[in-house]
Amino acid sequence: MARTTAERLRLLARVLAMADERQAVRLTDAAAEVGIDVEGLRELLEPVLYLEWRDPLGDLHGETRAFLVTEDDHLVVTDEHWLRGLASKPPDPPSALRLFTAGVVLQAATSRQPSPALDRALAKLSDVLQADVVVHVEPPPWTQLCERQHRRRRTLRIRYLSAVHGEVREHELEPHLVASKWGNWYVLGRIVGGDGAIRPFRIDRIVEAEAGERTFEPEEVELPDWWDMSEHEKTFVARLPARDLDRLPQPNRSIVSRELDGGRVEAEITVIGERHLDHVLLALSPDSEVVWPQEWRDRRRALARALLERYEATENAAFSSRP
Amino acid sequence: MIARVLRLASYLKSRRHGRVTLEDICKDVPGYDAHFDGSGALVHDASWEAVRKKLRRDLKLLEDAFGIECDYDEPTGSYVVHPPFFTAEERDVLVAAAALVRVDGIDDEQLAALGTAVDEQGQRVMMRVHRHVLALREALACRRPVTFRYRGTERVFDPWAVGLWRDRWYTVGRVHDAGERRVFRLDRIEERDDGPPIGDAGDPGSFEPPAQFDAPGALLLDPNVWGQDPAVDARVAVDGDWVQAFLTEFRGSRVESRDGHGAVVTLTVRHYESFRDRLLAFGTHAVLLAPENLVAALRAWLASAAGTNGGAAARSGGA
Repeated sequence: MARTTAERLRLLARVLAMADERQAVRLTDAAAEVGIDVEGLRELLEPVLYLEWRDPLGDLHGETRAFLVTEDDHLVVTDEHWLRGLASKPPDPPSALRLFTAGVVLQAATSRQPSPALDRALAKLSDVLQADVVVHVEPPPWTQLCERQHRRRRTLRIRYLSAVHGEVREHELEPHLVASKWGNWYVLGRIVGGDGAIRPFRIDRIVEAEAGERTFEPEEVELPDWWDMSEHEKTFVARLPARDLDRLPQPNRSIVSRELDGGRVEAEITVIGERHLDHVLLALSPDSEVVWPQEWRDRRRALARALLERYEATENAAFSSRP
Repeated sequence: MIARVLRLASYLKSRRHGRVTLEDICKDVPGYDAHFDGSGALVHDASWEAVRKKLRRDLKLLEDAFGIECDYDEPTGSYVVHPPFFTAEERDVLVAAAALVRVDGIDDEQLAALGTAVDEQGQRVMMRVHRHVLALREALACRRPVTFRYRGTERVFDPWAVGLWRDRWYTVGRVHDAGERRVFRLDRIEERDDGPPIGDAGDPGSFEPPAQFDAPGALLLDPNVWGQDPAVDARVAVDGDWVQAFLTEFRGSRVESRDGHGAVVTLTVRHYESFRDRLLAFGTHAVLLAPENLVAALRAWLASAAGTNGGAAARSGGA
């Protein structure tokens, strides 16, 4: 392992950080992560495992309690990571921003049990950033109930507004994971009596929820990097003012296929699900037109008519109820 | 050599509330060999100079690998360890945060930085930091104006804050040409062929955000908060199953009354166009009851969509 002392110390710092942050790390895993063999890692760790020195009175001192390699070859931190405990250098701005963002999320998630240590740490990170960085995080209603049922291994009964179908459905779920991705919170659950698949449900689309009493065995579920929603994609072609592309309800994917006169464009617009399609069709400005497919041009008209009728009915009801 | 450096760290830890001299280190920490005279004092000879250099190198190694900093105090001839940046409790809670939250979009250069070695399998919250955030933060920290292209226009801008609102990153500050406060969405800053999308446009210390500037408030980017239209109170009848979604969409809205079918919700509207577009997401499940001018504008909008699919009626029906 021909490396400089500085490089070896940096490797050691990384491996000790793994043991600290994961409670324990298998030597083979740690070695693979830092790109050395296990024997090289043992050699690297030896000083930190058997570190001793004498004080002026000749008494032996050391940090031998802090880091241990167990019989099954795991490196563990049993006391405290004293090297980190001595670190006085603040994190650099990218690290500070990463920790600050994570800390603000934790702060929002634990707002009912505030942590003074977290508040202090965030204040220190904010000083490192030397800038106002504002991270608005607000878990939607029902998140705590979802979390609680997940922890209790009990089902959850929900009335859920399906984005794809645009209607409310009732389900009883086994909540196997509560997680958030890019601003949206989800409960990943299996529908009791359903097809057995674990599906994501956006918590902000839960209309009502209550605790169920059925028990379940939690399964290892990972939040996928991406949900393949391609089967629910709806694409249409519209002619509209170019500036309207930014105004259309998000999310959508729009590709300008042709520039037209008067600042207008022809664009191919793709959205996910029936409900979002209806929203985008209604939000198209009056001087926009759906050019393809014909059925969605008609759909836009029908939606607008249905909504107008609702307004007329509301107006009539208000009129007839006047004294 | 690693053992010596770590012994030094451990020794400094044991003496971190006091001062440590080179003499102490040479006596107590194996690996720092120097000569002592008959009275036990350090002899300032060649080995003394060598051990001083060795100690300096080792302290630098400790700083680089573990962030442990130590100053030499000339008048007392002693070394003083800096106090830790985070307490053990603060470190623990930040590691817990990192174990819960994955933050994408930042390339940490500090390899063993806090929170970089957590088990990623346990992360249940994923956040994205836009790649322009760091450039803007740096400009903000040193109060340096920046320049970028936004919707085809070159902007010179004093960034006062950056922030996340509903999964999008924004910056708020002052644009130079108009001299007014503006908000820009970072993913709409245009790429350049000839350099980074965000460039320097002045010297550090060129501006100061106004004393009364409220960054969290400025980055509550609900158009009903920052809109410039005359504020009006709107009343909306919302079907029962959609009330919660409505309240979530329009923060600050309140349920005025409920019955078996739904609720009447009230809110203050300051951005008519955005309000109309967001209301349309609820289709026939939300009906605007007041104010009259917004109801009339919405009905005209719908009439044009229902009748002509664009064209003359649409334009005349606009509010």
